[in-house]
Amino acid sequence: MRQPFQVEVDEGCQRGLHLRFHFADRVPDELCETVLARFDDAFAGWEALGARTVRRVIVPFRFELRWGHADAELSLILRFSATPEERVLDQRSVEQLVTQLCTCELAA
Amino acid sequence: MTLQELFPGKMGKVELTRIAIRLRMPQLLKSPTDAPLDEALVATLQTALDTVRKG
Amino acid sequence: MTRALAPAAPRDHGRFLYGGEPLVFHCNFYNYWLQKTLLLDPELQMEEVIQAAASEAAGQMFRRAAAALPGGGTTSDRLALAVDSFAELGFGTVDLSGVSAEGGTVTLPVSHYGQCFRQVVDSDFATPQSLFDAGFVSAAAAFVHGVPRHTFQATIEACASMGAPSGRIRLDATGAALTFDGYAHEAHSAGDPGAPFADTSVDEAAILGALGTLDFSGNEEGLIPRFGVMLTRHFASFYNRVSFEFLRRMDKTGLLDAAEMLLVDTGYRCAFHTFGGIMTSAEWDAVIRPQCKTRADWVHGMVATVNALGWGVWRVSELSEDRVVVRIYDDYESCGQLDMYGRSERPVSHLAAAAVAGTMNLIYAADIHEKPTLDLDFYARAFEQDGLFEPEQTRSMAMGHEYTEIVASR
Repeated sequence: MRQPFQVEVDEGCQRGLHLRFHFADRVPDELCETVLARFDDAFAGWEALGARTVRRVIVPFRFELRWGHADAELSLILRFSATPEERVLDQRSVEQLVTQLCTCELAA
Repeated sequence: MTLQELFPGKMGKVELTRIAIRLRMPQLLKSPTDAPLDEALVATLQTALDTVRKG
Repeated sequence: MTRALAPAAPRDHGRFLYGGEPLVFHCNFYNYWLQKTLLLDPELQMEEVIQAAASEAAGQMFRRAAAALPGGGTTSDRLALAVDSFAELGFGTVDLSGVSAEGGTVTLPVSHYGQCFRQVVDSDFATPQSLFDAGFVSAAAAFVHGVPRHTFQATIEACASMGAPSGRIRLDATGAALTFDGYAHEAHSAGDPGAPFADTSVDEAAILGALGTLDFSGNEEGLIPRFGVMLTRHFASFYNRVSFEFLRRMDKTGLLDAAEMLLVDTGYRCAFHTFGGIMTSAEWDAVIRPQCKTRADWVHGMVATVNALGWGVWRVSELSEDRVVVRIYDDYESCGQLDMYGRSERPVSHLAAAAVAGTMNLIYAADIHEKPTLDLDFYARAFEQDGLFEPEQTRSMAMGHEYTEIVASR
C-alpha cells in the first residue's frame, strides 16, 4: 500500500520540534475530532489566512497540530515543556493516529 | 599568518570586527590585512576567535 | 485562553502600544545575535545594562497597567498581569509565587532567552542568557508586591540556555545594581507617509488585513512559533536602551564605527532569519505570494509585512534591480533615540538599514523564492557573494529629518 504521508523535520529555528507531514492525498477529514477525543486536554481553534482557514488543535504543553495553511500538509509542533521522551511518544502517537485515519479513509 | 588568512572573506571581516571589540584593539581594523603577524598576536587572536564563535 | 493583560492599542505610523510601551516583533535569531554583540566586551558590563533595560521597559508597562486596574489592582490581579504579560508577549512561562516583598526565587519552566537561544546554537552556552528575564522579573516582583521598582537585585541561578531543565532567578531586596528611569514615548514624525508604492500587483491593505487575523499571542507555554522562527513581541524601549547604551559605551573605546557595523550585522541576521522565514512560510504562500508576479513585487510584499511588525511605516519611493530607496516614518530606533537622548549627530537606524539591504539581498541575490534552508551554511554562502546590496542612511529622524531614508544599492 502506498505510504499515505511523508514526514520531514523542519531544520530551521525549531530544530526537531517542527515536523511537517506531506500527504499523498489530503489531511484526514476526521483529524480534529479524533485528536480531541484521544487527548483529554486538547482544544481546537482556527484562524483565517487569506482565502484559507487554518485549523489548530493543541494538547497543552505537549504539541500542536496545524493544517489548512497549505494543501495536503500537516504541521506537528512539539512543545519545549514536554520531555524528550514525551516528544517521541507524541510524534509516534500522531503518526499512528494519522495512519489509522488514512487507512480508514482509503478503505471507505 | 596574516589577518586575511585568519579572517577570510566578508564573514571574516565581521569576525575581525568582533575580535577587535572583544580585545579592545581598534588598530586591528586599520592594520594591513596582508602583513605577517607575530606569533603571540596570532595566538591571542585565535583564542579570542574560538571564544567568540561559541554560543 | 483568557489572560490578564495590560491595555493595548494601535497607534499611528504602525505602532502598537502595550501598557503604553511600543512593541516590535523580533525573532530569537535577532535576539541572540544582538545579545552576543552587546556582550562582546566584558569590560562594558552590558549584562547589567540588559537587566536594567528590561526592568525599565517592563516597569513602565506595569506602572501604566496598574493605573488601569481598579484601585491599582490587588496583589492577585498584579501577579496575573505579570505572569500573563510574560507569556502573551512570547517570553515564556514564569512562576512568581516564590517571591515576597523581601525577595525569593522565580522559576521559568520555559524561556525564550533560555530554550530558544539554545536552539539557535544547538549547544549549551557558557554563561546564562536569560538577562532580559532577570530584569523583567525584578520589575514584576516589585510591581506585584507594591515596592519600588529598583528594590530587587536579580541573580540567575539556572538557565535553560546552559542546559538546565528550567530557569531559576533569585531576587534579593538589596537594590538593583543599575537602573534606568524610564521616559515618555512620543510620535515624532508629522510627515504623511502617503500611499504604498503604486506600480505593483501587491495589495498592502489586503496583506495587513490578512496578517491582522493571525494569532500572535504567546501559546500556552508563552512562546510564539511563527514563520519558522520563535517570535517575541518585544519592547522597543528595551532594544533601544541596550543598543544605544552599547554605542555610548563603545564610543569611549574608540570603536564606535565598529560597534555600529556590528549592529548592522545583527540586522542582517534578523533579515535573513525573520524575513527569510516569512518569505518561505506557509503564511506568505497563502496570502502574499499569489500577488507576486516579479521580484519587485516580493520587495513590496515584504515591505507590506514589515508594516505589520510595529517598526514604523515603510514606503518604497524607488525600486530597481540594483537600488531601492525606502522612507520610514517613526522608525522605532529614531523614536527611541529622540525619546531617550534627544537629537543625534549620527543616524541610528542600523536595524532598519540592514533590514532594507537584507531584503534586497534575499530577493535579488539569494533567490529566496526557491525556498532555501535558512541555515548558517546558506547565510555564509549568501553573504560572501559579490554584488550584494549595501545600505546607507541618507536621512534620519534621529537627526531631525522628517523621515528616515535608507538607500540600498549594489
